[in-house]
Amino acid sequence: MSDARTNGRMPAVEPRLAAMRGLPSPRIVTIALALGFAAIPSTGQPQAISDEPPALFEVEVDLVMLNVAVTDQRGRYIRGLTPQDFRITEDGIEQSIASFGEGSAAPRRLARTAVRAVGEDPAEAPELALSAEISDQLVGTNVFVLFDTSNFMYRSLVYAEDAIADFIRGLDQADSVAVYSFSRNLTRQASLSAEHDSALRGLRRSVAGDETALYNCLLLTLRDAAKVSGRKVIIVFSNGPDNASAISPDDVGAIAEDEGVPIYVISTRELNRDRISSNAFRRITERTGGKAYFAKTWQRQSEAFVEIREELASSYTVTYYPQVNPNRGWRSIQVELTGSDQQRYRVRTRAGYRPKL
Amino acid sequence: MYQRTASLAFLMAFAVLGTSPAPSSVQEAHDLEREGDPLGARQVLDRLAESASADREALLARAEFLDRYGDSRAVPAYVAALDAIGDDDQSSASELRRRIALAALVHGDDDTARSALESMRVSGDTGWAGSASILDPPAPAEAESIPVPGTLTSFRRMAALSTGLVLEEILPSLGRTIFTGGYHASRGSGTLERTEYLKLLMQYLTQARELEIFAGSDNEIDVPECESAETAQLLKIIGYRLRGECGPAAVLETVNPSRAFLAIDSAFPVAELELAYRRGESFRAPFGPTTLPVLFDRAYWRGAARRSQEDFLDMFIEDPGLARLYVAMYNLHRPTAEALRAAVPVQRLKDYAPVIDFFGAMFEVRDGFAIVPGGARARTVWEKLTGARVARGGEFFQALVEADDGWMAAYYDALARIQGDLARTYFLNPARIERFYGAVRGRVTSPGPARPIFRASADLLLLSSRVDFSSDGRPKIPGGIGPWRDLFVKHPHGKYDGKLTKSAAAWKDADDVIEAMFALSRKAIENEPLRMFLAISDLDRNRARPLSAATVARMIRSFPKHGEQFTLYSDSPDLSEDTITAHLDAMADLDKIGNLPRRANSIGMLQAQLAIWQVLRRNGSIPESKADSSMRALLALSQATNDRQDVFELGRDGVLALLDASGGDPESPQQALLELLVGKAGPGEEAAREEVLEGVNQLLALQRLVPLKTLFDLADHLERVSRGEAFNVAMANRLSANISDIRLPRSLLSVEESNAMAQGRIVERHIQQQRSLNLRRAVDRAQGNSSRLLAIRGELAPILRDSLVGIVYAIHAPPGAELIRANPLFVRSHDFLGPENRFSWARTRLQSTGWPSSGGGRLIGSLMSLPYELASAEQNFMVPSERQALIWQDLAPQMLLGATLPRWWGVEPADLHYVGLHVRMARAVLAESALDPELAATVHPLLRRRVEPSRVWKITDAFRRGRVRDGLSILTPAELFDLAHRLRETHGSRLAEIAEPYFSDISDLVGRDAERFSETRIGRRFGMPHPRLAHSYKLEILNLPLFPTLMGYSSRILAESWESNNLFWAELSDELHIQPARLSALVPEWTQRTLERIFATHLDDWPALWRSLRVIADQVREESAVSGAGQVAQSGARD
Repeated sequence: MSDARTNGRMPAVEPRLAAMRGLPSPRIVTIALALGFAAIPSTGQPQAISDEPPALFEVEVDLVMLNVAVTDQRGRYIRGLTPQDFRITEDGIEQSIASFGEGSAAPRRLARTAVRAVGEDPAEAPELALSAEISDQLVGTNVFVLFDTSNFMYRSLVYAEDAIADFIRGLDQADSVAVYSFSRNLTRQASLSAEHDSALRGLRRSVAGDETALYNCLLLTLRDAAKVSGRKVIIVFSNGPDNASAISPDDVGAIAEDEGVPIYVISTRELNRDRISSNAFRRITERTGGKAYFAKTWQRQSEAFVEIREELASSYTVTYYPQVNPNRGWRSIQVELTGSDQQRYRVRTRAGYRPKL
Repeated sequence: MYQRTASLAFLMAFAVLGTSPAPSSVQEAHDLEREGDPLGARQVLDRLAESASADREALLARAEFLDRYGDSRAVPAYVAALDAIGDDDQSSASELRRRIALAALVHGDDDTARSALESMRVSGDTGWAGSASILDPPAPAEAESIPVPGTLTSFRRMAALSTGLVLEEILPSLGRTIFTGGYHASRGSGTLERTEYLKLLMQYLTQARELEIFAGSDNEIDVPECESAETAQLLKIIGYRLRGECGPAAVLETVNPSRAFLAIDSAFPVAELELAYRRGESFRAPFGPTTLPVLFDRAYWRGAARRSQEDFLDMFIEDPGLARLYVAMYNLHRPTAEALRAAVPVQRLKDYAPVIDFFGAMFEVRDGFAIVPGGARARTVWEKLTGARVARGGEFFQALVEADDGWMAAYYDALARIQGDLARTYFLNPARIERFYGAVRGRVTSPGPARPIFRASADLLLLSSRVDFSSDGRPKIPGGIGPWRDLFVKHPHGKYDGKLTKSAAAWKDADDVIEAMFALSRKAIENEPLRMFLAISDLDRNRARPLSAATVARMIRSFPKHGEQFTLYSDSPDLSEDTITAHLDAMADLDKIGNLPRRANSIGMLQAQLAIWQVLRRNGSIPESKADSSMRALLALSQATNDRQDVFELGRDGVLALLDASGGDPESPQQALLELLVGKAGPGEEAAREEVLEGVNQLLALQRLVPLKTLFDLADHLERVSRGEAFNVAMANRLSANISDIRLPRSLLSVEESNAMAQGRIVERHIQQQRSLNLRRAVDRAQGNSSRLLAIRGELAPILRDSLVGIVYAIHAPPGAELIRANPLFVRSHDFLGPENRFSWARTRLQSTGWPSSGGGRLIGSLMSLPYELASAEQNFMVPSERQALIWQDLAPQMLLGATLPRWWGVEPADLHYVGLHVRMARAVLAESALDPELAATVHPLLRRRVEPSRVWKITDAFRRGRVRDGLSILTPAELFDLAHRLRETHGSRLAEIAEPYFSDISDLVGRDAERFSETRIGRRFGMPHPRLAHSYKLEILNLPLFPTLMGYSSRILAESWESNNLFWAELSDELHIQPARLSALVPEWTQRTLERIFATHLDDWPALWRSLRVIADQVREESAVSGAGQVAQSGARD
């Protein structure tokens, strides 16, 4: 790791994850393709294969990842679904699933995906397939815990720590966890690591005090999370009121949505005590595919953590390479269950995203 | 004193100057260095030194090279050269031993230094009279100490003390936090009550004492196993209990939240304890008392305590007055503190602790005498003012602090800090000392300046520091006496001061005006004339022709509303008075526009264009010859008619005028402007410049701003449509593509949130107007009517405003720029009117944080202080790397500003080397002064001109104790750089003897291009902007002493007087051979890392900044060692 990590500037990630950052991330690549069909190597890096002068073909290789939670009418998680049970559309364009996994288990790589422009002959479109390397990254979840240590949380700080500690202890061994705390500024208490004990140590080193800049610090946590490959979630544990942020909750929510990072919030205030914060929590959690819990007591907070852990273990990780879409603005995502007997279930995932500029 | 030998002079000439025949490789290295490739030179010398055939000349050349570039490997390299010389050349060997000793002392290699000094003694060198302190450092004096329960780490955390403090600094730092943050007045009774901070600290001390008892005499908490009596006992103290059985299921959970909180907050290793229980291991942790040294002795402080207590720490914490006296005495020049201690009973001193604390830094008693501002000539007047004799130093300062509720001490402090010969001669004239003090004192002295929590005498300090002088030694009064007399006599803004109103009519000369300013300087309010005087003095300072009385009078009239904009004139001192007046008129005209959206658009557009003009003037893209005409062209915007299209057209004309004046391509207006704003790059700088440009363009794209070219093309097209051309829908779509995606924040909000956002309606209307713009429909509605079609262009005015404002934002974006990146409406939300439409020309400020920020924070006011405010807003996104360390609110923005405003284009390695050589030379000379009392007698008076006596004493004390490097680290890079300059000015021939290899190198550089290394040019490259101190954003080095934290400015003036950062980065880059062009990206990043690493204990704790800079420099050195010389990578942590 770089020295930058030791001075706390970098998203604190373990070497295992840092190495993955060089993998195909983003964006649009312009690739030279034969006029006919070209296969895409399994790494996802498109490549020209023809002796003919190549034509330029723009392909989007941003892998879109969705955390999908499916619950019945009583809120119980539905497990055991298969890729065939899902239909994904983006701006109404149907997508082919590149990988599918449940909970922390290793995802299954599915058939190659033909990426084509609308109306284009599928036979002439290049194919992308998820590499084994990327697939490996989808094992387990990278959990970022963002813990409010501001003056608002002063009295309940130790109980909150106990609840978070319980949550960390109960995480799947495949999960990595980072513990950040915040008041006016962010502090990286424990870097992202599969060593849960180091997260516990970081948690127990937090210091209380100062104003609350929840949304500023949530944004910084998101920036760190965005640099890590694989499945990731942010869990915010906060009292609610923010008296120092210059960023709005909806701007943070939009970025989380774009990055595909579900946000879960455990608010230590009752829903009706602070409606402004409650509404903001609801909006950002819903649009990112996470969930807000309003838990005043220590017991309720522990229950909320248990539920989040259960959701992590029960939800599905679905990836796809988007079909060519001229829309460079916000794209809506729709995930539906295909079976007729599954229509009564509720599907929760992010509502959409904006492709990177 | 040590005499340099002639033979080494030969070697010097041989190796450095290359005047003698040299081995070809040494010559090659020398040539490479001269050509600006020090890295190449170093590689040649390294190869040469590693080769078997390395001769002594090559080894010496390498050692000197490393020494000149500040590389600590110079020490072993000199040793290798010395070994190569052997016994052949005694005089050269002698000089080399001297170099080894000095370089080793500078780099903290005391063992090697001692060894070199010892070999000098053995070989019979005359040596230095003071070298004994290094060879045989005196044993530290036996200081009294007090025990503090628990570990130092825990105590520091609970007391909020920096981890960078050395032991003797702990008590004074604690003392400061106690009297600044430990107590507050209770409501009603006004008695002092403990704050939460202090309550927690005292509760912690109780818990720590219980843990100490538990730990026992061996000072170790020892729990042999989970199931033991010790477990129960320990958990009870720290407030936890075991849930589950001992073993893997063991979990610690809170049972007593107060105790558990203290345990966590003080960093008790709870997680490690739990882990031990789970693993079935024993748990051990050291836990014993920490010993802290006490100034003087405990009995002395007990004499001042409000209530004598057995435990010193309890006594200290419970008596804020005692804590403050301790702080004040600790920070005094130590012999002065001793003199006061001897002369004044401690109880009496305690009454004046605030005065000593605020104003004691310049007190100095030397050989019993008080060293007063003005020297021997001024002794009599000080004796008259204080009623005490200078010859009795302790009593003199007692009288000074007791006089006039502290005003005399405040005045003394301000005068003692004055720099510059002209200012000293003027202000320290005995008659004026007395006269001006009379003005400061006035008739009523209460309240004194030491009553508030921050120093209340900010203006007194600024006035004595910033008055400008003509070459004949008279103070310059901008516009002469007339306008200032009229200000008081005719008082256009209302009466300021009844006494001055009467006396002003009789003013005859500059002294009368200065006296009036002194009288105003003690006022916290109603001192507007003084602020006017300082601002107009600053902009008049660099003008070839001083401002006329009429213009000054006009500026005085405009100041209350438009004064913030005067910085424009400071940054361009060649601007004609007609243009200044036209600008003042334009601002007044714009204020009269009744239609608020149009006023906001016009003001915003003009301010954005002027902000661009200001940068282009500063970086020379707009030449002096076109300064007036280009600015006048922009001001035409104020003459726009009520027709909206007029605003757009004049705005576009302004852009074209900027491009015309700066030679930019009007065909690609935005790109041309950005390239000019980023600055011209020289050969080899293109890639670094492209990187900067790319960052700027990315920010503009994230804000979804419409490129100028799109707007101008569309306007032209509409003009053609008005003449019958078909409407181009595709072109209109390009415009709407940028703005159709914008969503107003309010549309997302709940009713409660929407209601909570009380402000910003105008801004929302501005954004809504753009969202609802449908050009196609507008064209259809115009039904071919030519004038109506033309008028559609007016709809583009708000969009043009945002595009221009966006350019200003992007060009001044601080590192990270999270607000711009995360809030796509940030630029469009800029509110140019502000509450009650009163903030159009006021300083920029961040509005709507916290609860109301459901719609996102935004900036309001003018763009004049935008660079500072953007940096200020950005500091909230820094991540302190030290737990508990908070970002220093008023210091961080200035540091960021100093890192982002300079562009390093055109800076050459020789420029970096020039700075590096000066700083190193100053260190080397000071190190030698530690060994040579005669040299110390030469150097220390120069040091005292700028550095407070208390710090000079600390330096000499460290030297006396053989800790040369510690002593050197007390001085900032700016102070070292300045000292080297003063030494060159006053002791050049002496430096030629003692300051090699630096001095020859400096002479060589200056000899090649003296103008390049002039003070002004160096200031422009490595200086800092001083928007508050000098009312200017231009880069310069003011060479002022460090200011304290001042009321009304907090740490902002301190930050502006801290001019070390860019000098420090230049020195570091020189050492590591980093290409200057890369510094445009690296310096902002290093600065951000520095700020994130600061752990300051209080607002005056600038040593914490200095410590952080050094830590980051060490990290950069390590990164360089990994990447290879000259190859420092950006971390990209905030990419």
